[in-house]
Amino acid sequence: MKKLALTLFLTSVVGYTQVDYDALVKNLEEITAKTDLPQFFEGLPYSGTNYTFYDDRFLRFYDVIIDEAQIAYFVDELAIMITPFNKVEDFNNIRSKLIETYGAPELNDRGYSCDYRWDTNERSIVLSINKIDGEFNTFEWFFITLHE
Amino acid sequence: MKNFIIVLILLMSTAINSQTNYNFSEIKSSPDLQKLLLKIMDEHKETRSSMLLEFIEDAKVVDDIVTSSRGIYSSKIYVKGMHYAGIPIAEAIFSNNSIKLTTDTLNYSGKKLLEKIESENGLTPVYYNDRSYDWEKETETINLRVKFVNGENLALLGDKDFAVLKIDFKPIYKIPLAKIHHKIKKFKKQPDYVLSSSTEHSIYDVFINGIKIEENYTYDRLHLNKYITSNVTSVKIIAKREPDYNEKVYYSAAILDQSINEDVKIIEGRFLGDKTVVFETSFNSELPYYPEAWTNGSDLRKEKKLKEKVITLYNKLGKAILENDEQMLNSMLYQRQFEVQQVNYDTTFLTARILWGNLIERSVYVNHTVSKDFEIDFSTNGKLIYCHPKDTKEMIIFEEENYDDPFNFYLYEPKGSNELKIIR
Repeated sequence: MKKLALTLFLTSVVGYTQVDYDALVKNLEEITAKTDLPQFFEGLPYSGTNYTFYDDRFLRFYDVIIDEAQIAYFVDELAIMITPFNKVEDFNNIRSKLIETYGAPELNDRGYSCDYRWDTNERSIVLSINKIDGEFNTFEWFFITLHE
Repeated sequence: MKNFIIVLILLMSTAINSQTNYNFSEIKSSPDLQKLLLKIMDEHKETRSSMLLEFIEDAKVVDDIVTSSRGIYSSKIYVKGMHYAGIPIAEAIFSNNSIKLTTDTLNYSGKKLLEKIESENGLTPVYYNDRSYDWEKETETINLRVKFVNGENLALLGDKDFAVLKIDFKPIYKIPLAKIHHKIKKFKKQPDYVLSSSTEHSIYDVFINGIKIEENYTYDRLHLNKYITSNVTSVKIIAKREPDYNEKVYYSAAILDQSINEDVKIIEGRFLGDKTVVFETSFNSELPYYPEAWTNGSDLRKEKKLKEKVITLYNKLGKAILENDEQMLNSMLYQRQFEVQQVNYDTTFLTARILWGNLIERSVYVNHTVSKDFEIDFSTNGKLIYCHPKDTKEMIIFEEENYDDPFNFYLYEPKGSNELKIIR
């Protein structure tokens, strides 16, 4: 009788199985050339035949919410294309984290745009932004190529 | 004290579950929808006329409720007490077979509705452009669109962000033919044998286990599973160059298991000329399921009244379709459809539902014609036949104004029966 009452009560309050959204969040910086992609993205639906994701609820890059991500092969190398939201704090956080992790970047500042580049044995990273009045305006290009 | 607490818990759960007003999450079909709308209208007689959208076709009043000849046409409702499993709904638009719900803009209603629908139906990819989600289910098509008011993105939805949920209710079919997917098994290994031909400017006929393949297939790739009944399958190809082509033509082929992308048998290529070239081989066609198909059929080469039996079968099929005789259609087509879906491991609900929907649609046809003059091809020791009409385009044709719908099938006669059956 007690069990029945408790079951009725719980069912009335939580009548369905909640999705564990936190457990589905994917940290894109963790992907390497050796990552088992089906396993890494298990639980997430994706669009198209490549791994293309548009649901920012599940995409992070060093804790920054990411708008869109695509993982695909480009000329025999696995690459991650990341589209963050065009927020200056997101740009600052991403840039800081990359400098903290990979050191000072190779810089190409044209005034109206700027490219940051890091090259290591495992990956090459290109972060390209558009600027207005010398300040960040939008992300142009954020591309990580993973080396074997 | 213990008993008092138990009763209190029971009363609380009853109160929460009573859903005193209008709970759209309980609607699972078009009749449910109409019932709820009538209930709302009945309980809001004074504002009923304002609920009806201006554009209502062939409306009439029945028992003081405005309906169209097809039921409630379209109504836009703003009444208190509307919710989807406790999530407040500000507006509901009812049509005959669909409902469109807009949440209110308070208390994270949009976020809550998205999470509720995902808990019921699973995750699905979001469409980037309009932040909408789609679910295609057996009896519902669901679309949910998130609308931002004070939220930044899907990960940071605001308390005022709302959602628009549209559910289209599909017919609920009870006939087994429309629900075959419930019976289809999945296996650990699911070989998918394909004959892949490499050739240009040639014409060729394929025979699998002696059965001439009559279906159209694309890109020179023929799926073989539905012609397989044992673990050894023979393949014969009769090829020649196209009549008006004078250059060298080459034909080669491979049988592969597409499920693991591996070749099972290579058919060595040869040049083709005006004379036919025959390629013959057999391969290991192991499957987790072998259909009975025609293996238990009678030898129809001995059947003296075979032509009459063929005509009788097609007339029976034609009558069943035009009269929408569900039981007859199920009886005539179930074995074929089940076997083909099972050998293809096809568990999707769409296959059987589309087949059934097409059959029902054909009841609008005015007439059907069955060929009376045709040749019969025999295969598998006379157990399987395929007919080639000489007087009509196909063995059975359904006719509508300016439109013909032709069909033809492989037939067999089960031992002990006196009637032919459609098998492929």
